[in-house]
Formats: sequence, C-alpha cells, structure tokens
Amino acid sequence: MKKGTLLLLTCLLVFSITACNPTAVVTEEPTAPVVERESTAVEETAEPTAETEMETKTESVEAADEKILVYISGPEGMVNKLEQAFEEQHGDVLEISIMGCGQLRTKVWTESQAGQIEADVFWGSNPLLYKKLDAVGFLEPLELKESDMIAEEFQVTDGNYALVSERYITILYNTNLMEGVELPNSWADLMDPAYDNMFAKADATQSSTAFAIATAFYEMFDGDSFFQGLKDNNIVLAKSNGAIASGVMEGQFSLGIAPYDPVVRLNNKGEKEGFEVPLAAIWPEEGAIAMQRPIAIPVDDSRTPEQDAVAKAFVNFLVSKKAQTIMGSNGFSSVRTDMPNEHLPADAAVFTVNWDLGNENEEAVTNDYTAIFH
Amino acid sequence: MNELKISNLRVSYRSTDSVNGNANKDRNPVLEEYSLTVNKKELVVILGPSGCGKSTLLSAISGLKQPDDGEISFGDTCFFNKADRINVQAEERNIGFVFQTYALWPHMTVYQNIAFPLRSRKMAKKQIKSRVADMLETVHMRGYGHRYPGSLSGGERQRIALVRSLVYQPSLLLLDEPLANLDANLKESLIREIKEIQRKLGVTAIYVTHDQSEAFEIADRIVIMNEGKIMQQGTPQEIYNDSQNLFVADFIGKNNIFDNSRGSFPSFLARHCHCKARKAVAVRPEDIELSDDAAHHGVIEKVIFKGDRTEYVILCSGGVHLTTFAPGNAVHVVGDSVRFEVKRCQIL
Amino acid sequence: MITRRSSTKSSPLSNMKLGERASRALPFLLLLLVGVFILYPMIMLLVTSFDQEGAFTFSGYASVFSSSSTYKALLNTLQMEVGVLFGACFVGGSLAFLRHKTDYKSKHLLDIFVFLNFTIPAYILSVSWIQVAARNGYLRRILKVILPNVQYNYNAYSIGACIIILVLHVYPLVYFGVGNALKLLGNSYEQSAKVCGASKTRIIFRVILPLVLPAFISTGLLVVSRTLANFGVPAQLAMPIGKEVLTTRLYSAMADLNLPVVAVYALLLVVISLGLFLVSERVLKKRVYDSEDLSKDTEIISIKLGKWQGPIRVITGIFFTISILIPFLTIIVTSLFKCWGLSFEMKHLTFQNYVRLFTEEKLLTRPLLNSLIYGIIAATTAVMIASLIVYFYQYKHNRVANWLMSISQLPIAIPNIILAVAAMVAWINEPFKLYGTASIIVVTYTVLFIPICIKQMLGAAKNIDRSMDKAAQTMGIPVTMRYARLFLPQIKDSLISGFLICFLISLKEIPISLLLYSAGTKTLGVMLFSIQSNAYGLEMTSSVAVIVIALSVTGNLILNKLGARGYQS
Repeated sequence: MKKGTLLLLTCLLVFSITACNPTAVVTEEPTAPVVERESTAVEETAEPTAETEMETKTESVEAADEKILVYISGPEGMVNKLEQAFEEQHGDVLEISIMGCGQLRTKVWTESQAGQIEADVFWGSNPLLYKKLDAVGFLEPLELKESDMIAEEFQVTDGNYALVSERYITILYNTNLMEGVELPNSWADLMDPAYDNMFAKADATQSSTAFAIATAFYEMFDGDSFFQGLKDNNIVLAKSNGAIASGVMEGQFSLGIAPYDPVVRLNNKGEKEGFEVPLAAIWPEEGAIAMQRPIAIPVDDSRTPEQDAVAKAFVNFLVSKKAQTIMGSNGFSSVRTDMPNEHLPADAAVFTVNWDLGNENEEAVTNDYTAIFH
Repeated sequence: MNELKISNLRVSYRSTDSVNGNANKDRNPVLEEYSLTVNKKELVVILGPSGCGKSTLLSAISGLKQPDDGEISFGDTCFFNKADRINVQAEERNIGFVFQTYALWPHMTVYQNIAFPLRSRKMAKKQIKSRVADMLETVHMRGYGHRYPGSLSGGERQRIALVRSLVYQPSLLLLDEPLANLDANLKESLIREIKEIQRKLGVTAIYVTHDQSEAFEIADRIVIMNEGKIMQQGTPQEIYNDSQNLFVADFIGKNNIFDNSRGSFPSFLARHCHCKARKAVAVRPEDIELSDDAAHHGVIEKVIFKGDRTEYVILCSGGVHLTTFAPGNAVHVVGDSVRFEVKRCQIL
Repeated sequence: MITRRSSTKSSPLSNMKLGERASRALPFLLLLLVGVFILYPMIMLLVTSFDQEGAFTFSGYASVFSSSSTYKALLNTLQMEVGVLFGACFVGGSLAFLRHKTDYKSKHLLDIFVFLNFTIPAYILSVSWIQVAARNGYLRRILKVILPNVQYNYNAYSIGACIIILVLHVYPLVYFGVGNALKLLGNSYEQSAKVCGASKTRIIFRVILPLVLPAFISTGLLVVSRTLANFGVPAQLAMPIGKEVLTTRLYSAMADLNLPVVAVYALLLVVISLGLFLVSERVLKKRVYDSEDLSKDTEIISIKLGKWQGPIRVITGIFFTISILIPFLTIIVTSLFKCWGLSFEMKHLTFQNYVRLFTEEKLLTRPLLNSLIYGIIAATTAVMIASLIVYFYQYKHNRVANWLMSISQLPIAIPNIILAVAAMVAWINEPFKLYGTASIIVVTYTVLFIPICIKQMLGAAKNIDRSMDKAAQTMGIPVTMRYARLFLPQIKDSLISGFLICFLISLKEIPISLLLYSAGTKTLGVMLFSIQSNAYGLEMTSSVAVIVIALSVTGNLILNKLGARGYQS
C-alpha cells in the first residue's frame, strides 16, 4: 500500500503544482516569445503597459473583456515579432494560436459548421477559404484605415476580408545538387522525364496552401494534366511547404515546388548560425503563382465592444508600415504602395489565380488530385 | 426452543447468476422444499457427498445467496421471507462464517485480520486490542499478531480464520468444510479445538463436511443430505445404528447391503428378519462374528490389513460377498474356510 | 426486489445503509458514464456518416466506396498487415525459440535488447529510417565516401519501409507472448519425442511449433490490430509517395472538410477492427492446450546449437545493431546538427537545438507539461474507474456489471485515430462542448486507457479467492470498505502498472492529440509529428525524439522493476 500511496501522492502534488499554473490547463496560450527584439521604428509613443508578456504566465485568466483569440498560420518567428510589436502599444490583448495552414482551414471550417467560429480574427491560408466562408455570411465587413495606401490589386471590394501580404510559388532548387544539370524554366518543364525522381511538393490534403497551388495549376493547365505529369515523374509529397524548402536545402530533394519566402528566412538563419544555404529559386515562364494571405473577422454577437476594437486594430496594424516591414524581412511581399516589392525579380512573370474559379473547381480538383496522387 | 428455523427453502442457480425477478424459469433447484431447525447452542453437522447442496445451504443462511422461496429466521429475527419480501443483507445478519480456504486477507497481519470486523463496527481501539488478544489466547496463538497469513501453516491459518469469525460475537457460526485442506493428524486436534470453543462460547453452529469421522467427533446432531434433501437427522448413534434408508446405510461407515433382487435374501439373514416384504437389509461388518461353531460358512476371498484391524471379504453360498472386521493382525489367509454368524441387522 | 430491515434488531453497522445504497447505484452511474463517453461518440460517428448538412444521405458512403483511393488504401493496408504479421512472427518467434529452447549464450542480453526495441516509439523509428535511407541520408553519405561513383537510387519511402519499421516495433509482442508459452510448456513433450528417436528438426516442427501455435495466433492478432491502427509510420513513410493505408486515408479525407466521408472511413476501420477482435476472442476461447510443467525443470534447454552457435550470434548481433544501435545513433547525431542537410563537420554541430527546446517554452516544455498533466489525470481516472468496474464484475456479477464490462472494453477494438474522430463529432456541439479544450484530449485518453487498465486488473482480480470478499460480507464489512481496504490493496500492483502503462502511452501518443489539439493543448506527440516546419528541420524532430525516447526507456524500466508487462497493452 505504501508504494502505491506514495505514487498517488506524488502525482497529486505534481498535479496541484501545475494546476496552480492555470495556463497549463486552460486553453490559453502564453504570450511570451523568446526572440531578439528588432529595432523597428516605433511610430507612436509606447504607452507604459502595466503588464509585460512574461507576467501573463503567472496571472489568472482575466475577465477577457479585451482579449481576443487569433488563429494565425505563418512562420512562428514572424508572428511572435508582430505580436510583440502590437502588444507594445495595446497591452496584452492577443491570444494567438499558431497552426499549420491546413489545420487553420480545417479548424475554421469545422467550427463554422458547428455554428460559431471561435477565433475573433484569423489570418493565413489562402483566399479560397475566405471566399467560401464569406459566401455563407460568416465574415464581418472590414474597413481599413489606410486603405488608400494599399495597392489596387490588393483591394478587396467584393468581400469581407482583407489581403495582408503576398507570396510567390516558385521552383526551388539545391544549388549543389543541380550543378551541371539543366534547370527547368517553366512549370511545364517539370513534366520532362529528365527530372524524374527529383522533386517534391507539399501534399494538398495536408496543406491548404498546397491545395491552393493545386487549384492554380488546375486553372493554369486547364485540367489535371499537370498533376498526371508530376505523378509520372514520381513526385514526393511532403507535409507542408516549409518542409519542401528545408528538404531542398538539406539535399533530400533536388527541386521543389514551394513558396519563395522560406528561402529568405533560411538564408537569414544560415547567416546567423553560420552555415551555408545552397538554396535558390527559379521564376517559371508561365508565372510564379501569386498567393495572397487574407485576414478576416468572423461574425460573433457575443464579442464585446472592446474586443471588437482590438480585433479591428490588429487588422489595421497588420497593414501598417511597421508590420509590413517585419513581414518583408520574412520573405513576404507588401501590399502597400509605399513599399517596394523587394522579393519579386523585375523580370519575373506572375500568375494571378482566379479564386472564384478556384472555388467552383474545388470538388473537381480534390477528386482529380486524390485519384492521381493517392 | 428453536434458534435457527428454515422452512420450505428453495434455492437454485442460474447460468450467469443474474438477478431476475421471475424466479421460476430456472433449471434444477439445488434445494427444494427444504426445512431444518437448529437449537440454541447446538452444533449440527451437515454431512453429505459433494454436490448435495450443503454449501448452498450455508450460502443461503448467511445471506450470500438469495433463495427463490421459503423462510429463514433466527430467534426473533426474520432473515428471509419470500412472501413478506424480506431479505436481510449478509452484512447485517451478524453471522460468523469460516471458509474452506480460510480467506485470510494476505496484505493484513493476523492482528489486522482479526481486528477488521471490529473496526468496521467503530469499536474503540483499546477494546479491539483486548478482544483480539483474548481471541488469540483462545487458540493458543498469543504473539502471532504481527505475522502475515503467508507465513503461517495451514492449521494456524484455520485457527485465525475461526477466531476472526468469532471476534464480533455472532450468535450463529457457519463452517464450510474448514478442515478439508489439512493433513489428517492436524484435523483431529483442530476439530476438537473447534468443538471446545463452540461449547465455551455457547454459539450455535452449523458445520458442513463430507468427512464422517469429523461429523462423529463433534456433532450434537447430524443431518445427512443427498441431492438437496435431508435423508436422516439424529445423534451419531442413531445415524449409525438405525439407518433409516438405503442411502444413509450405504453412506455411513462400512455396511453390507442386501436386497431381494434375486427373489430372496441370503440364508444367513433368515434368522433376523422376515425379509420377503422388505426392500433391503444392512449388516455392519462388526455385527458379523467369526467362530468355529457358527452356523454359516464361507471362504475367505480377500485379506486386507488396515493397521488396527483386518478386513476379510468372505464368499458365501450363492455368490454373495460379505465384509467383516477382526481386530489386530490377520488370523486367516485367502482360501481359508470359515464359519460366521450374523449378530444384528438393520432393516431399511 | 425490496429489502426491508427486520423489525426488531437494529443493525450496529448503520453506515452500511449509505454504502449499500451507493454500491447499488454506482454500477448504474458507471454504466451511464461509460455509455456517454464511449457509446455516444460512436453513435455520433454513425449519425455523421449519414448527415450532409442536415440532410440524411448516403453520399458519404457513395464517395468512399466509389473512390479508387479507398480500394488502393485497402490493398496497401492488407499488404502491410500481411508483411508485418509474417515478419513479426518470424523475427519474434525465432528469437523466442532461441531464448527458451536452445543453449544460446547471453540470453539475458536478448531480453534486454528486445526490451529496448519495444521502448522506441514506432514513429521515431520511422524518422530515423528517413535519416538513414533518404537521398541525403547517412547511408548515402557514407557510400559516397567509400564508393563515390555508385549512384544511390534507393527510395526510402514505400510500403515496404513501413513493413520493416512496424516489424521492428511489434515483434517484441510476439517474442514475449510466444516466449511465455514456450516457458509454460516445459520440455516434457520434447523429451518424450527425443526418447522416441525424433531428430532435432522434427522436434521443432512437429512437436514444439504446433504446441505454441495458439500463442502465435493470439499474439498475431494483436500484431495485426496494432498495425491496422498505426498512423504515424505510414504517415511518415508512405503518404509522401501517395501510398495510403486506411488510417492515413482517413486523415487525408479530413482535409477535404467532408465530415461524412471521414465518418465512413472511420466506421470502416471500426468494423474491420471489431471483426479482428471478435475473431481473436473466439480463437482464444478454444485454444487452451492446458500445459503445466510439473517437473519444474529449470533447465529447459533441449536443442543444442553446436557449430551453429557462432553464426547465429553474428546474425542476432547484426539484427540488434540495425534495430537498436542505428536508430539510437542516428537520432542522437541528427539532433546535434545545426541543420540536418549539412555535412558532418564539427562546425555544423551544436547543442543549440536542446537549448532551444528547453528555453522556448512552446517548443518542448509546454507540450511536455501538457502531456504529463493529461497523462496523469487520464491515467488516474482510468485506474479508478477500471478498478470499480472490475470489482463489480467480480463480486456482483449481474447484468449491469456485464454490460459495464463489455462497453468499457470496446475501445480496445477501436484504433486511436477513430476514437479521436468520434470524440470530435461528439463533443463539438453544445451542451457538451469539449472541443477546443484540454478536456477533450483528457476524456479521449481516459476512454483509451480504461480497457487497458481493466485488462491489467482482471488477471490480478481473478487470482483473488472469492471467499475473501464473502468472508468480509458475512462479517458485516460494508462494500465501501471491502472495495477500498480489501480489494484495492490486493490488486495494488496492477493499479500501479496500469497507471504507468497508460501514462507512458500518453507521452508518445500521436493520432488522438493530433486531431484534437488546439491553442495551448499541444502534446509531445503533436510536437514530434509536426515540429518540422519553416524554421525547424529534422534536427529538431530528432531532439524531441531523444527526449521522448529517454522518457520512454525510463518509464519502461520502472515498469519492469514492478514486474509488470507493458507489452501486453
């Protein structure tokens, strides 16, 4: 009996100690990032905030009349910096949940089916999801204070969401492995048997960005011929787009269909930690696929006015110059007119996706993709 | 004065033993229309072969098994009455029960085992201590309190089981073949101890066994059971000398049993009974006398030395076999011609 | 059935009234609890399979059964099952035979190595496989140095790879199961065969093998059901090339946001799994070759290896090098890389990954804490509930207790991932909105754990003489005391082992937490599966893996000390 009681007591003790840390059991994500502070210019004077992020861990859950829940899919480092910057001015009002883009899509959609999207703001994935939700009235109208600073192609006139940044899907390659090998110049080139067994892309069933890419290809090639071509070349499917970039860099694949922004981040990391990054991108002839990252506020009657204000402020913050600069250093292109598109080479073609068509084709794309790849 | 009264008891087992309100769809009942009374301070031995229902009877009396029909009462208290829908739970009947497997709790010491029923009665610690000490003294096991059942011998365990069942002073004690797992010589000393304690404490007791020597040793009254029915009740002497039916005669001790299936009884019985009308006659081996001038003769077929006596199987005229005893070593050998006389017989 | 107290005597044990009532009500309450948390989600799964946006429809079934992917997945699953079954039986059986029936030296080493094999989670094995066999893996790098001109074209992703990894993970089940049977058999059978003049091979194949066949069958079924339910390995090794098995097919279907389809796949898996479970029950009922070694012969060696001793030792040495040493090494080495693809130079190595794990809270400490807490709560709850169920089943064997036992054991036949999907559809709506909280993970873990605990306790409970409880009953000890003071202490060891086994599972469990986690409720398993993202490569996965392995080995060592057999879960 003694051994057992001792064990039980120990467990109870551990439990009680950790239970005193309510954030461990409650669904609250601590807002304590451990990243270097970037010296970005602060436009407004920072109001002395009563609580810093570190202290929220030991405090009990507030009455949440100001705190909002935000779902974001995006690179963790970037999101942390943005959160920090925003909370410097507004206080600890953000409860951010970072997840993969596939998970974001599934989660938001499942919650909408159950009747109420839990998040107060969600950002990431691609326009397909937002149009879908908007069509059934789940999104609130957005007014951007700085809408005049936003480039025309990024203005959303017919929907209740906003476009925050843009990224480009390109062909990545490993400079070491592809040395002496002729590089593909276009998407269609990838169907060449010379590239058999060489490349990978993210699985559309696990990544919503990958699904959007598949939709784009469906539109580009007017059907699933491209899918078939990729399959014939024994393409490998990875869990996420991030895995492609690192996979190509690590040499697991010679080529990859992936967004360009990880290249920027990986280069930064390599510089910081002292290793080389043999990664480069090809901007295909048909055009690098432009993928915008939208943001939206779901309809929720139970939201307090304070929460509403914070949500709107956050959205506006993300299109502000400060936020856009942070995103820029992470590889995303800005939507503002007063910021150059630093990542898109001048001579590169861009393929603009017709997202409405994408939604129409969703079922066909899903079925064809599954049939070919699975 | 009746202490324990059982009337028209009916007990049966269903396959999963599930609780079912409608009692009458079952298979063979183990006990049916069973009635028994036990007097105050009496030690009744229920004797019978395996499967005769004696353990079931104890289960019913103790409340561990609910009967289908009938009535069980003890003194002024009604334990079970189907008609009045009374059924007192086993926990509340205040009965002592000694199991064949002792059922001592292995993770508790001897002291804790005995003290446990007192603790659940919220008795004061000091009182518990003295009671337990008394009990241990009764079975001459003082000082064993800190030991664990695993370190005790079979006999010691049974003693502890016994006093554990008596420590809370029940007025009825049930014992279910308590000595079945013990060696022969241990049985003898223990059974006397049990009788001694029962007499000293004056507790009414029912002792179940299939072992006749145990029964004869301690019983005030023996109840012989077979297939759920009482075959005969009485003192040991009555049971042995006046067997009332074929089963009892055959079951108790050694007996030569003759029936008239061939139309008549063997000649050597003629003197004792006008047997044509009888069903069977039994002759105890010790009631057959071997002497040179006896009337009947036969041939020794088998000689079996049993230590304190010798058994002879005699082949008589008509192919009939007769078993008899003689004290001490064998006098005759196989093939000897002998003469014998039947001194007494029981008519069944 | 009315029970009235007798009119005259008042019971001196008045607290019994409450205990008695409680004992009578408790089974019903437990049944309700178990019914709600186990049956209701399964029913909801069934309902969801027919429900397309509020309307009753067969479209889910139509999609699933008309889609070629379903059949491809079924075929792949079958292929994997057959491969793993034969592989595990062969490896586990041969090793068990070596251990118990020959004079193979260093037998204890065999036990230790197989034990180590068992403690490495399958998913981690698959990660190390990738690190070894992939295009820029260690194998190729070594080959490049030794034989620079040879092309390396081996495809690390395949169903075959899944089979190899799963065999390595489950063969210990066969080893221990068949080993026990061999031990119990004793050697009287072989000795009598030897006396009759049978040769070694004849003895092996005609005497020993048929006698342990039942053990093969029962452990074989266990292997098959574990393989069927496995998600992590095929997700890592087969999904990338588009080869799916049933579990990964279900996971992919979730991305289509088509819940009825997901539900149909889930039900398909349940049906197959339940079928296997029922078959195994029936087979096990018939099988008992009652064998008891009455001679208590400790020397049960009957086959002498002779000149084969050397070669066999080499073979087993190679096997364990591949199955234990290489995975351990690769995982540890990779975890020290700044970035996995880099060449093996000192400047590329660092402890930074571990530092990052322990300082960046969201990476390891939070998920680890979550795993620990959820595991402890769920395991404790499961142990308590299971002990109550086993007690009622043993001592109050009535219909309610039977139902209770049957329903509680249902989850054993249901793959983890299905439990997760069922929980999702059940607890997503009011009034029981557990989705999005830690509670849904804890509840699902508990449901998963209860049958495991029951299994541990039932054996111990059956060994307790029934008359112990009866004796206490007659002495007037109320049921609450009987349960707490008599029953629990006697099954104490199985309580602890049950708790530990379940707790260990929670540390490395993937499918349930992967499907049910949300903000702040990530677990160790989730981190292991999904840490590979933009900033982190295989090197971070490896560092998390090292932590998980360390925890797993420690926990299993403790279990071993207690004499419990975790491999029976």
